[in-house]
This record gives sequence, structure tokens and C-alpha cells, in this order.
Amino acid sequence: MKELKEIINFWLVVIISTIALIGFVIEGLKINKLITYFEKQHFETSKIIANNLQATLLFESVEDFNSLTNTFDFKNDYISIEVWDSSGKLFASKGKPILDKLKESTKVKLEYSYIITQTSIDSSGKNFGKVVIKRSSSELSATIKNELLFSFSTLICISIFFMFAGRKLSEEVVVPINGLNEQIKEILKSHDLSVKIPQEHRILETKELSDSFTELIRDLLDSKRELEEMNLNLEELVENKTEKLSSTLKDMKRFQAKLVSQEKLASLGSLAAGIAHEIKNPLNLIQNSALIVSNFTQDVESFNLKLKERDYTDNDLEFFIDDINDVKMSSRIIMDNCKRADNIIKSMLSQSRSDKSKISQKLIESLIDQSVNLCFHAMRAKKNPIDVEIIKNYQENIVINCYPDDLERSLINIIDNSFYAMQERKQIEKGTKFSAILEVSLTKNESFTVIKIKDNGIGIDQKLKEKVLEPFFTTKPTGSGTGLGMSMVNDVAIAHNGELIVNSIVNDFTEVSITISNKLSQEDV
Amino acid sequence: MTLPINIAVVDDEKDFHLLFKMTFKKMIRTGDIFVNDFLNGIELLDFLELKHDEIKIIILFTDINMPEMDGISLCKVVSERYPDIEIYIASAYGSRQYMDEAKDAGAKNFFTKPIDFKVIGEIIQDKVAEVRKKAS
Ligand SMILES: Nc1ncnc2c1ncn2[C@@H]1O[C@H](COP(=O)(O)OP(=O)(O)O)[C@@H](O)[C@H]1O
Ligand SMILES: [Mg+2]
Repeated sequence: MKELKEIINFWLVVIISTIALIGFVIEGLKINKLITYFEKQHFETSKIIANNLQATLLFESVEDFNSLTNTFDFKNDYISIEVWDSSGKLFASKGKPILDKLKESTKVKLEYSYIITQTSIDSSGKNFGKVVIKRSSSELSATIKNELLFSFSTLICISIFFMFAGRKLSEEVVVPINGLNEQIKEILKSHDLSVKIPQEHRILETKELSDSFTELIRDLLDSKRELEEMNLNLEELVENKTEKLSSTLKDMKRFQAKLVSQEKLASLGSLAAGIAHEIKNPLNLIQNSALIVSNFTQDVESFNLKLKERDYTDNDLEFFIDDINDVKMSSRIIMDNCKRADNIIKSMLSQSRSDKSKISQKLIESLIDQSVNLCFHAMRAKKNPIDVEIIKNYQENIVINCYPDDLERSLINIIDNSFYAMQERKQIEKGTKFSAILEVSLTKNESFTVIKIKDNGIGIDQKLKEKVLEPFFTTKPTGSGTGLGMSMVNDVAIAHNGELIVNSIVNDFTEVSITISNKLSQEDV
Repeated sequence: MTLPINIAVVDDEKDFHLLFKMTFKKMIRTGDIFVNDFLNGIELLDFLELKHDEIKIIILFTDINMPEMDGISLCKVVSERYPDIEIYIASAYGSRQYMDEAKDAGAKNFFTKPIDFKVIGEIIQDKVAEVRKKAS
């Protein structure tokens, strides 16, 4: 890309050079013509002179030569005249001798300051000799000089004119365009569309150009204003949307919190419902054992009667003793099942007690036992109950600070998940020798207490393992799971300055370990 | 039909078996009834499969909530394969849904726990009387 000025200059140079070239060619031709004319003139003159000198040679009269040459201007014009006879002898001469060696055939020789003509002197076909004339050519030189001078000055004049014209052209075209250019650059740089483009123009084109630009800028200004308006609207819109979104988010969070607490309630509710019914099993046994005892009292009375009347057989005695054994057995059943009912109620109560989020010292193994019991009963009371071998592996007497309610709720959820997974596996592997095993272990090291709960249920797919801790992730049918359990457990683990780790292999096992800090203190709350 | 009539009791709690036998000890002693107890439905089905021709079970008492096989499924299978057996079902849950399910599965009656053994006693005695009457 070239500057406009450069282009103008280039064409100026081209034009000037062309003119100069043409001038020189014309001048050359002119000078050439001049020289030819000059030579011809001299040649003609020398011919006339030669004619006149015929007699001189014919009559060998030097006088004749002298009188003839006397009229010649030797001051300005003629330099020398020599007359040679046919034998090559100088017959007569005037002026300085001519030193130039001329060939016989040469007729004219033009030098810078003189011209020499050599003309043979003939008479009626006979050669008598030749005349050599040397004359000044300063007239010609002067003419040429003048001619060249004139041409040169004309050229200079033309050049100056063109240069001036070029400058003027630049001023008229380039300057306004450059001005416009600068203005637009300025606008672009400052992002200020309000800059006015000067309106004084002497050229139609640049005026039109600047008008177009002014119009363009006006359009741009309009668009900019529109954009700004739109932006403003957009900002407002975004603000509104953001406000709405954040309120929605708040609602969601509130909703989620509500759901989490509902999950706690729901799991409690379903556990409680299951357990309330579960109590009916020991109650059933207690009530009917009591019936046996009460029946026995009647039997005792009738036997007593028989005893008094001494009217009894060996069989009666045997039966009576047998009945006593039954009573013994019944009271054992009553006692066992009272304890069982008591346990169920206790674990229910421990669930519903709401001394929320209080740190207290707890014997962790009893917390685990309660949870296992509760879950087991709940599972047994619901559909598809299974037998479960429960293996306990406790490091004894671990008493640490914890949030007992939260921890127990967490354990209940973990164990509940385990039972569910094992029930599922039992269903899937119906008829095979699958037997459910739940391993619960409790260990304590320097800074942490670890509770591990391992089941041999359906396990968790590797791909889903990450998701288990997410709230609302559940693989259970609606009504059976909310997917909030494990996320709650995770929160609880974190509240205990610990962590929750899930390890699993599909159709093999799932091991959930919850780690809690031993040094949880009231200040952490 | 001859005495003793064979009764099957299916419950996952051994104490329930004991209790059942203690409660109806007199009838057992007199040879009116014989109680066959099973810890789950599979055990009963296996038994029936093997001994049905030999020991004719007439009355079946079963719990609903049991491992291996729930009472309702058991009820379905038994009423289908052995339509002569009278089935009584018991559960801690007394919901309508359970009762309907039990009836649909072929149960003659549904008891809510705690079970009133006197009612069961009456059912058994009625059966015994019926058999006696037929025999004489
Ligand atoms: N012990 C386990 N065995 C197999 N899958 C499990 C186990 N524990 C949790 N899961 C999986 O993690 C999911 C989320 O569990 P959780 O957060 O307690 O919610 P929910 O029990 O309501 O489904 C379960 O639906 C189940 O797919
Ligand atoms: Mg859960």
C-alpha cells in the first residue's frame, strides 16, 4: 500500500521525465538539422569559392587569389584558406596553416570551434587542385548553446510548474483526506463519536467523502445510543433475573433443608411405624404366654382338688409337672420378650429424643448396637425380611465426644441401606445359598475413631459411587428412598471433623466407614 | 380324615412354636391334634412335597413377615397346590391391604397380632369335632 502523496509524486516524476525526454529528442533533431544546414551552407560557399579560384590556378596568379580573398572577413569568420595544385603543392594560402590531416575524400569536417571544407577545383572535367577553407563555427556553437539553454530552461520551468501543481494537488486532495483520516483515527482512539468533522472543503469529492463519514458517524451514534439503551434494558433484565434466581436459589435451599429434615422425620417415621408393629411380635408372645400361666392357675386348682381327694393318677402327676415346666418356659418367654419390647421402645425413644446437636460423651459401641437393633427390627417388620448374621468387632470402651443423635441417625441410615442392599441381593439370588452378613467394626487410633459397616449386599456400581453422597441421589423406587441419607451422613461426618468413605464392589460388598475426630470439643460448635 | 389332625405352624420365631404347642398341649396329649412346626415357608413346602401323602396337613397357621418367603406368597403356593389345607394368616400389620391380599391369596382368615389363641383353639376344636363326627 502506497501513500497518495507518493503516487502523485511518482506520476509527476514520470510526466516530467517524459516531457524532458521528448524535449531532448526534439532538440537533438533540431540541432542535427542545424548542423546539416550549416555544413551544407559552408559546402556551397566553398564550392563558389573553388569556382572563383579556377582562374587562380589556371593562370597561376597569386594576385587573383589575394584579391579574391581580400573581401573575406578574417577577423570573425575565416581562419585560413589554402589552395593546393594538382601535384599536391601549396600554391597559395592565407591565415594560419591548417594542421588537420584530411583524407582526399573528406569534404567537410566540423569541430567544436571551426569547420573545414575541402573542395576540388575543376575546369571542363580537368582537376587543377583543391581549396581548403577553415572557418569559425562559433556562430553555430552559439546557436546550439542558445538552443540548449532555451530548452533546458523551458524544461526547468515545466518541472517547477508540475512540482508546484503536484504540491497543490496534494494540498487539495491529500491534506483533506489525511485530515479526515486523522479525525476518524481520533474517533476510533477516543471512542468519542461526538467529534465533528470539519466542513470547509474546496473539492467536491472530499466534501462528499467527509459528508459520507459524517453521516456514517451519525448512524453509528444512533446505533450506539440504541445499543446503550438496549444494554441498559439488558442490565435491568439481568438484574431482575438475578434477583429472581437468587430468590429461587434461596427457596431451593430452604426447600432442601426442609427436605433434609423431612428425610430425617420420614426415616424416623417409617422406622417408628415399623417398630410400633414390631412390638406386636413380642407382645403376641407375652400375651399368649400369660394365657398359659393363667390357664395353669386353673389347672392347679383342679389338681389341688384331685390331690385333696387323693384321686389322681401317675399320668396326672406327670402332666402337672409337665405343666409346671410349661409355666417356667412361658415366664422365660415373657421375660425375654418384655426385654425385647423394652429394647425396641428404647431405640425408638432414642430416635425421637430431640436434644438437638448437643455434644456429649458417649460409649460408641452402645450407639452402634442401638442402631443395629433398631434397623434390624425395622427390616424384620417390613416386607421381605431376611436373616442376617451380624458380626461385631468392637474395640471396647471407646468413649468420645460426639453429637450422639446425629451420629446414631447416620448409623441408622448406613445400616438401613445395608439391610436394603442385602434384601435386594436375596431377592435377586432367590434360591441360591446367599446368606446376608453384616460386619460392624469399631476402632480407635490416636486422633480418630473409625466405625466400619460392611454388608454383602448388591454393592454400588463404580460409576455411581461418586453420586452416592449427592443429595437426592437414590436408586430406590419412589417411596422407599429420598436419596438424602448419605448426604446427611456426610454432613454429620464433617461436623465431627471426620470423613465418610464408601468402598464397594458390585454384587460383592459395600463398606461404609465413618471417621470421627476424638478431640471434638464444645468449642467446635 | 382321622385323628390326630395335622396342623402346620410357620413362624420364624421358635418361641412361637413352643407357645403354640404349650397352649394346645391338652389336645396334643389326647391325640386330637399334631403340631408340625416350620421356621419358614420353604421348609413347609419341602415337607409337603415329601410327606403330603403320608401326613395330611389340614390347618396351616402362618406369619406374614418372615425371611426367605413371606406368608402371602406361601399362602398362594399352598392354596394352589394343596387346596384341601385351610390357611390362617397372622401379621403385626392389620392394614386393609394386607387383609385383602391374604384373602386373595386363599387364606380363610386373617389375624392381627397379638393373636388371640382362644379363637385359634376354637377353630381347631371345630375341626376336631368335624372329623369326629365324620368318623362316627
Ligand atoms: N450399603 C449399600 N449398598 C448398596 N447401595 C447403597 C448402599 N448404601 C447406599 N447405597 C446407594 O446409595 C444411594 C443413596 O443412599 P441414601 O443417600 O441413603 O439414599 P436412599 O437410601 O434414600 O436411597 C442408594 O439409593 C443406593 O443406591
Ligand atoms: Mg438411605
